[in-house]
Amino acid sequence: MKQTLLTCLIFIIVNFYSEAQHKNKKEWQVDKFGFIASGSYGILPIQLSGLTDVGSKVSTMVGSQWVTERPEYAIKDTSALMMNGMVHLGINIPFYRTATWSFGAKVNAGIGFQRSRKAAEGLNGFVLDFPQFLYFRNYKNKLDYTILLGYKYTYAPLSYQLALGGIDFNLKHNKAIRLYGGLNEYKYYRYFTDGRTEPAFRLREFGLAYVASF
Amino acid sequence: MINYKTTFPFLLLLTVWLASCEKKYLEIVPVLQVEQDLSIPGANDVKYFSFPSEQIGYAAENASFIYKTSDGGKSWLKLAVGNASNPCRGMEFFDTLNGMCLMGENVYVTDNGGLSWTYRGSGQFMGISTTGKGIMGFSTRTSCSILVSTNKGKSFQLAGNIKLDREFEGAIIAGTKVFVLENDQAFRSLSGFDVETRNQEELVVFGRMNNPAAMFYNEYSKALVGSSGQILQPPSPDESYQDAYFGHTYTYFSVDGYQDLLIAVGERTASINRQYGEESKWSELLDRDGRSFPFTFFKIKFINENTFYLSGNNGLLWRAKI
Repeated sequence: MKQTLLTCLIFIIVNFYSEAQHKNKKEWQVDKFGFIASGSYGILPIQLSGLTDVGSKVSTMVGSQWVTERPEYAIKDTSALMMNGMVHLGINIPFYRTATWSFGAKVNAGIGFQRSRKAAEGLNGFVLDFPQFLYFRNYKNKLDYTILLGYKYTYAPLSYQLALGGIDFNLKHNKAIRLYGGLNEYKYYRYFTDGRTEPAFRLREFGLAYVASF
Repeated sequence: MINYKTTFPFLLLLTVWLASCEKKYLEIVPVLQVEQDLSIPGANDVKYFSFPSEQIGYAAENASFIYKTSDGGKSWLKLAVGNASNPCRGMEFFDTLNGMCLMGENVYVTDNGGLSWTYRGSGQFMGISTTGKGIMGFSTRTSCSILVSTNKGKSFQLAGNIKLDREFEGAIIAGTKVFVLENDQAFRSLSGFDVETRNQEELVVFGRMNNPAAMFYNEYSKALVGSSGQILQPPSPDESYQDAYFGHTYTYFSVDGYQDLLIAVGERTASINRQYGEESKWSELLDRDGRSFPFTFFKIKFINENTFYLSGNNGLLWRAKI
């Protein structure tokens, strides 16, 4: 509780201080506390591996059931591509501002839909997405950009979490185009009963978003 | 004042670490680990084996002799079974010295570790119950007689008869029970006889299995395996046997278990049923490289909760674990 109050106090002081500092900046370039809304489209290359029949793959009907006749099983890798479309709502919180740059956080929550091709049809479904960023915004030059570094948790048929990096190209009138990508590969593992583990599912995410601030 | 040049890389590393440090598992893959390769050089299909102790073991293929090891499988000796010339169709040992062999349709017993054998009678099947009773049986047109020995094969007494409706095909000995197989393409039940209680029972099967090969039951689980790659189990202890796993059409030859762990083996297959939390499911048992086996396994026998002996073609005999 103490920590939360302290954080809020620091945040308010810093905001007042930085607000007072930059009266001459163009309004849209002044980094302000405010709400943000975004729509994003993500591409998720995935690597799946699983037990597959690498033999003749001949099936036969026994009773009312199709059965693989004489399979030869092996664990085999498959690549697939998954796409997601999401909308996020968030808050832009500047912590510190100077005449040329600012530093703060962007807290977001979103909802969307995830779709994949044949190899991973089981992963289709709704997703809840929680990307959180720390940012460094540079508005010294005409090129007004924000570097983002963050972490996201995505609740999906196979949930994942990624360290995120991104860049916002801030356009006029509080609009921005964001390019983002996972900094790490998220993995689910397969555990062998002899004690070994190996990745069974690997996922990365890259995306493009249109961001509006209010 | 915060130094952003060093803080940013630090935060970057921290977030990457946070996002990747937790390991989550998607599946558990059972792999077979060979603890000891006891394979018999020059042997063919090792269909029967018995290891009354870790050092002393017996094995047999479809030949008129058996193999014996006294050094835990490092070396194997060929032993003649009396003057039998028929191929071995069954072999079990009560302990390191006392055992039984079915050669053709003749039952032989030994009380000196296979050095000499005594003809005990004619039979079409034989085995040892989990309570240590010797079992042998033969059929007539109308019934199957079951004889039981309580003195390690020295003598057998008639324990009961099972009425046959069709031609006798064979018998499965599981636990303390003998189940008789009749020539019945649309097989729907097995007639059983318990050598302990001397009660007969009818085992109803709702699955589709033309040639049952082996059965296992204990207080935790039951399984019936056979040709065409099916494993039947009762969904609950009091229910009838039904399809439980049908992953392929390879024939199963043997099934054994320990508590709630079951393994069925056969032609190019070893399938395992293991309890994962609440769920119990069958899956293929793989080799260390994550592949199914190219061998045919003929028999599996557990010696403790995770270790078992496994025999197969080309003299294959392993002590293995999961």
